[in-house]
Amino acid sequence: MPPSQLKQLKASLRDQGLVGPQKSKKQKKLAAKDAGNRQKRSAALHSIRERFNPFEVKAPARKEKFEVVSLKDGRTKKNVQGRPGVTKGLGEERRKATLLKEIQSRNKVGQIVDRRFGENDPTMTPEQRAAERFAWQSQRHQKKSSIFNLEDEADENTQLTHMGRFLTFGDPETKDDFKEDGLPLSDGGSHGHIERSDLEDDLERPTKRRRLSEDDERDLGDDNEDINGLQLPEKKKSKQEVMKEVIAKSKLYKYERQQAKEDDDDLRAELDKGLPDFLESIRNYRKPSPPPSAIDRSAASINPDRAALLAGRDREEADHEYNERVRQMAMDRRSKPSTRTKTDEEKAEEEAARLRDLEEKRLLRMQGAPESSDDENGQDIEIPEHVEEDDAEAFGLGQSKRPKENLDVEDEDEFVLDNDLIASDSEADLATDDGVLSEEEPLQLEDDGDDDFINGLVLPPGPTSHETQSSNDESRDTSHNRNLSFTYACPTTHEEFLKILQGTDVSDVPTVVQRIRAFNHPKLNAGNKEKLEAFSAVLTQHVAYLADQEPDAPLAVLESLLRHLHSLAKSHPHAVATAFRAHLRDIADNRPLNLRAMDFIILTGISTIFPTSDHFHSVVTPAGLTIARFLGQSPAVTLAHLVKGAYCCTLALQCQSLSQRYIPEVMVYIQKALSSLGTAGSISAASIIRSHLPEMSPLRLLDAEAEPFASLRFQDLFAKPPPSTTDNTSDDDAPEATVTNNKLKATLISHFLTLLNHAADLWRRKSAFPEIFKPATLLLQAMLSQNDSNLHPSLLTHLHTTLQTLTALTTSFLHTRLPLTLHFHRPLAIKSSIPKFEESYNPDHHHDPDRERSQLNKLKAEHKRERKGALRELRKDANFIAREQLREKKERDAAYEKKFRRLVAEIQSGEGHEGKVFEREKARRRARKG
Amino acid sequence: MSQSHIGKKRKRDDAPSRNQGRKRRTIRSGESSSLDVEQLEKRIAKDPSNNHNDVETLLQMLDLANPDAKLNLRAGVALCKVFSRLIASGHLNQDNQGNNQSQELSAWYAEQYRKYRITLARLLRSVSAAQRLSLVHLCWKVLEQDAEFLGNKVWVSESMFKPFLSAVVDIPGGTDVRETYVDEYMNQCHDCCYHSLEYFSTHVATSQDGNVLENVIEILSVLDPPPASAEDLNFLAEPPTKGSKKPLITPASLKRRAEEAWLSVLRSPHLTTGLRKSLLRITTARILPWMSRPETLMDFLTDSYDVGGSTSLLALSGLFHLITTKNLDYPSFFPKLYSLIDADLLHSKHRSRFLRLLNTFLSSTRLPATLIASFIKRLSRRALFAPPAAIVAIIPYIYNLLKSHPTTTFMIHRPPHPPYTKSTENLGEDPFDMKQPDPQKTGAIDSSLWELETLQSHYHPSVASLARIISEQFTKQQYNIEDFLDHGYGSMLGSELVKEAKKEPVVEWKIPKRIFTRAKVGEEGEEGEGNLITKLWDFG
Repeated sequence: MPPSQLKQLKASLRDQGLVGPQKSKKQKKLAAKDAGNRQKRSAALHSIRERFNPFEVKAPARKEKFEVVSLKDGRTKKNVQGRPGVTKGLGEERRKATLLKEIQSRNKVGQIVDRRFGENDPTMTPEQRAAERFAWQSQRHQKKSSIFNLEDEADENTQLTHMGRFLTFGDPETKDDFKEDGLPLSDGGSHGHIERSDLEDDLERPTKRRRLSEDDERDLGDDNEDINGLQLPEKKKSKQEVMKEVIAKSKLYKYERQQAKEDDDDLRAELDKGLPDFLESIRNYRKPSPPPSAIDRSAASINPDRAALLAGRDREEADHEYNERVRQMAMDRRSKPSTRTKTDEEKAEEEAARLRDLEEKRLLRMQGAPESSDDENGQDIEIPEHVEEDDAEAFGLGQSKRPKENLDVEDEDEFVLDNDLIASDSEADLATDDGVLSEEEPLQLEDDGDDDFINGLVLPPGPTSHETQSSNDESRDTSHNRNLSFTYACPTTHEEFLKILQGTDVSDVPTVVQRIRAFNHPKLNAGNKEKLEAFSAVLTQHVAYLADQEPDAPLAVLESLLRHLHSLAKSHPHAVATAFRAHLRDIADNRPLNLRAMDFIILTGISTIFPTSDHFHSVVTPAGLTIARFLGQSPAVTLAHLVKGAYCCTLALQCQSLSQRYIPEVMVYIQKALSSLGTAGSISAASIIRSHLPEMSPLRLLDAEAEPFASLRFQDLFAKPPPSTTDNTSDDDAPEATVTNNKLKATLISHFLTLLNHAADLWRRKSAFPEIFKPATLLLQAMLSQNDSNLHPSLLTHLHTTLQTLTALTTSFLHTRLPLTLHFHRPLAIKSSIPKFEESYNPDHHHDPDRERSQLNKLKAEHKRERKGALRELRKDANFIAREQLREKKERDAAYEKKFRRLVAEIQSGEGHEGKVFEREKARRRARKG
Repeated sequence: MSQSHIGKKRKRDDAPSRNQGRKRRTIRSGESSSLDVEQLEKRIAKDPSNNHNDVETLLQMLDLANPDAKLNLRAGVALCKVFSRLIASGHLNQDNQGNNQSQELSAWYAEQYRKYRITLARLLRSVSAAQRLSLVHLCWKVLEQDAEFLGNKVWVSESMFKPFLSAVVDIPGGTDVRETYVDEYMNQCHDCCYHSLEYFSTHVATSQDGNVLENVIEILSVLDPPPASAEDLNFLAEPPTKGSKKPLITPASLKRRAEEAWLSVLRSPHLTTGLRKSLLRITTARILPWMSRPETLMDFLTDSYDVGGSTSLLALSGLFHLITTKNLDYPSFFPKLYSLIDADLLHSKHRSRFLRLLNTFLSSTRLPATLIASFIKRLSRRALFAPPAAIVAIIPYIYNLLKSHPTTTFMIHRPPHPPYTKSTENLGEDPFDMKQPDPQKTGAIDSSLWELETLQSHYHPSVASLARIISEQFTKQQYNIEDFLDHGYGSMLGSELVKEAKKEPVVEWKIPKRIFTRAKVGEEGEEGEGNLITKLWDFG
């Protein structure tokens, strides 16, 4: 059990050396002398007092049960002690410093009570404030402040004035009567006004008067305060605001004073001006009218240049002109340094950078990076290799050459712009081809020829009207170009376009297209963009239409049109793509396995207009599928089919020249075609690919003499099937047809061999290269071994070389190939069921796994805490205020009491004095009497 | 074949028409010539014993295969009514104790009735397709009438049943007739069904006509599955009994009859490949439910399986059913299955069917990894030359196989050194032997799936992206094969073209100077150099 409080106190006093054994006087004196000792003593006493005051330190709510050692709280817990006395004192002091000050300076500006209506009320607008003031004012007039006031009427239009001047700034015409008097309105009736305006006139007011009014206020303070306090809960203005107002007002007054002075000056000047006349009139002498030198005189003070400018002109006019010129100068654009002409090297470098940029973009598209996020992970290992090689090729070759090509390209794109329609490259090309084309024209456009014939008879030959819109009846020669119209409406449907083209030669179509494009260039008119979009669709249709023309498609024209389409596609990619897709849909719906001439042209066009190396492209992908579908599903039973297939194979391989993607259908088709064209033994080899092939194909090449053509002709695609298909009929009918057929077959074999070579070259890096080309190798071997006699020597050598390249590529590839290692991924983590330990776990904290909820709870707790704190503070504030008010009241009461006593005492003393005087007087009278 | 049929029919049609003229003349001479069918019918109804000649008239009217077939039908209907009344009034009953004359009359009527039935059956064969169905209903009406009259002897004794059934079986191109017969009669009246089946089994065995077999198959294939219990049985006539008490027709006996019929069909020498295929197609759904001992199908199925090609493909499901449910031991099942993955499979229309079956066959995780590896390798080898739709189906399937048989994943990841490879040399050579027929010995497990890696650069973006799943982490448990199966060029192209392009399509920035025409010799910049088209084609 601890010792009692008293014992503890004694012990501590003893410890501090405050009490102890009796000291001698000398010792005491010595100790008292030492000031440090005294201080120490008082400090020790203070600490002892604190220690033994049970209210000085806040005891913990619950006693600590055990001694706890912990890293976290051990240190802090000891120090956490409430000191209510200290905090209370601190709070009190803080309140005294802030709240008390605020209370004291409530409704005051500085030391002055601010009683203006709504001055510091942020909820009131200036209008409301004014209305309030006015209402107050009129109320003041209504209720008679004193029954003895006789001057009510005079007060009717009393307004706020200062020094006799109205406080409504800006309209000086209303003047007050009091101006003359300069009477201080210090009587009770206008007391409110003065108070209200006392801030405004702080500056102007004589200090004496100010003091006076303050005295008034102090005297009558209570009443007024009550009224104002009731009606105007005015807020105190900050000092800064007050100062601002004051400054603004002083400026205004200053301005007004200046104005008045100027007016006076003007008036005086006017009077002065009139003085000579006046004098003369007095003296009866008249001077001749002065020459117009007045201006000169006035101009003498200004710049001589300007004076010269002004000479002989009205000043206002001159000023006006001057202002205008200044404005013009301000509007003038500042001169800039012109762009430097670039050197050739710089140009080449820029061009190379542009090309590099384009190539990078293409590569990204080829890998399908920007579009598809799903296959990002599966980066092909092969592709980057090609990429580098590609890059090297592109830039090793073309740095010097490419920019120039590109200029041509720009030219092609630009030629729509030149208005006088200078023949561009494409046209020049056409012109050279015209000779060739003209042979075909009469055949193609027979009805046109008729028209021309009639025209030639009826109308005199000569230049026809260029201006008129091309219409059906417009006359035109076949000798083209010269009499084409220069302006064409932009056709929106193919029918319209055909109508426009009626009577136009086929070879002129590119020119017409060019003119339409030039006439409807988007820069010329707002709606032209849409028009050209429609036109690009029409043009696509027209290309297909032209290609389907019977005897022979005019390829040069088609080429030119496709290039036009390409150029249109650059500006309207969407429209052109949609048109091509429509055509592809048409193919898919109507003739997937029976492609026509126009389809080949369109497919070729797609392959040139759109980048074929893209991973996905909304036009190229369906086009590729269309080709593959034809190759995969069409039966290779006739020569015409084979020719078409050969073209499709070529196109497909051409499309993959950059991206080098693998097309199974091409391989299958090549083998199918070779085995059906080749000799009997090849059938068994072909079974590796497809087992079902016609047993005895009519397509088999049996004639050893047949020498292949140099290359397949595009026209073969459109050859009518009957003459070329069946061998037996042609045997009977025309032996030469058989010969050509045989030659065609030989050509096809050679063609497919070339394609096989090309495919092997294209896919030589594919990891399954040996597997892909093994069946083909077997097939070629079978063809060679079966009967050499059936093939032309040139074909045989071709076969040999192809076989050799294939086997060489295969063996070399087999040497380098390694087993697949596709899964060098980081191994997947095994799902763990071990609980996760938290490093900084604190049981006092809430460990909510739901992050949002925990944050919300935290916020809630904080809010609660803050709220409690605020309430506590408010309560304390209220207590404080009450205390202060009580104190003030007590002070006031005390003062009153004091005053009262003084007065009573005064009266009493006065009374006493008078009593004494009375006594004295009485005594005196008595004495007098007596 | 049908040509000859038509010819025959015409001949048959002609003969009565020639008679018709003569008979009509005789009718016209008679007193009833001007009367129409209804009046004749009414007259017979009034007094059957006197107006018996009208029956003959009606019969003649029915028999006349004149173009006015409506009259024929009306005559037939009228006669049906007439005979039903006659039966009801006992005029047809020869055993009645009437006088001599009445006995004679009833014998005459019975003869007329027999003639009527035969005529109906004959008409059924010859009448036009539009009239056929109503005639079938008429025949059934007569048969019902017979059943009422004869009881359960209707099936064996002389009645409408046999001529009717044989006509139904024989009608060339009478699919609708046969369907009606099965739907409305065989499936409803099980005694009819029972006896029809009995007829089929004998008829198919004896008949020399291939068409009969086809028609019987046609009938059998639309037959409902057998009834579950005796309560479900319905009878036209009273239920026949065997011996003293036991009912003749029970679900089991019905099943036995059907089995006999099916077996006779399967044994028939006229079974062509086409028929065999169509039979195989319905094996599990239609034939197996009728089999009390499905093992009997074994020979048929194994024979079909050995044929090869699509026939064996079709036999697969039936065979697998037998293997799994009936414990059929067929050791060469997997080699056979393996050999089915030939060059044509992925191009054929049975592709998805086969892949579905393969999915079930190889679903067991207990299968040896070598076998699975062989299948994977063979499929991927075939995929090298397959259309995109097939590749799309194969790749997820291979993924599933790899996932469920982790040993085979060495085929996609094999570090090139000894613990994983047998030697460090000649790693590029594929140890897989395509010609080895036994999937256990192909050496595919030591190979690598270069083919799938190559397909990652397939020209079709979707296929290429799909092929990349092989080289990504195998986080997905299984792919649902069903989603990938039924694609084709058409559907893929359609889906591409239906998609509206949201982005602006990219356009080649460079406009080529030449597309078709070849660059002139003097012209600079031979762009055609890399251009295969202009190199190989002459656009003169």
